[in-house]
Amino acid sequence: MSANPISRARLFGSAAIVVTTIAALVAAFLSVGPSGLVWAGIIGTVAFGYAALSVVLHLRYPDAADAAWDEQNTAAHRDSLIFGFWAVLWVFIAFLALSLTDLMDPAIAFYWLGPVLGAVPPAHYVVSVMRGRAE
Amino acid sequence: MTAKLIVHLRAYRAQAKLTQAELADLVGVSRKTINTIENGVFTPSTTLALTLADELGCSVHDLFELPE
Repeated sequence: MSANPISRARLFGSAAIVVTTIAALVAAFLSVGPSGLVWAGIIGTVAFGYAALSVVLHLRYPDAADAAWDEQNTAAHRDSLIFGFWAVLWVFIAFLALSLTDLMDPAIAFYWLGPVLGAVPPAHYVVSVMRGRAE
Repeated sequence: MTAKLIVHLRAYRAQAKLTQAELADLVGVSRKTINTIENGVFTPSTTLALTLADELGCSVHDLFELPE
C-alpha cells in the first residue's frame, strides 16, 4: 500500500467506483434493490466524492501529487483510458446488436453505457495497481 | 526496438545507501516506479534516466545497458 495520500485516494476512489457499479449491475440483473436512477445517483455521488477529495489532496500535497502522477502512473492511467475507450466501443456495438434484434430496450442500453464508460477505466487502473504496474 | 534493458540501478542505489523511497523522493517519482525500473518492468524516459544518474553520481550508461 502506497504511503502517498493521492495514490491511496486514487486507488480507493477507483475501487469504490468499480464496486458500486458492479453492485448496480448485480442488483439490476437480479431485479433487487433501488431503481436504476437511484443507482446512477449512488455511482455519481461516489465519483464526484472521489473527484472532490482528489482536488483537495492535490492542493494540500502538491509534491505528493507530482510523485503520484509520475511517468509510470501517467502511462498506466493513459492505458486505462485507452482500454475504456475500446470497452465502451465494443459494449456499444453489442448493445446496438441487441437493440436492433429487440433483445434489449434501447433506453436501457443507453443507460448502461454510462456505468461502463465510467467504471472500466478505474477497473483497469485497479488491476494495474494489483499487478504492480502502478501505484 | 523492444530490447529489454539490463538495469544496474539497484546496485548503484545500494552503493549510495538509499532506499527505493528515498531515491523516489529525490527524483520526484513514486517508490513503485523505482521498484519497477529496478525489476526491468518499466523503462524510464530519457529525462528520468538522466535525473537518476545525476542523483546517483554516475552516467546513464552505468545504470542501463543494452543486451549484447
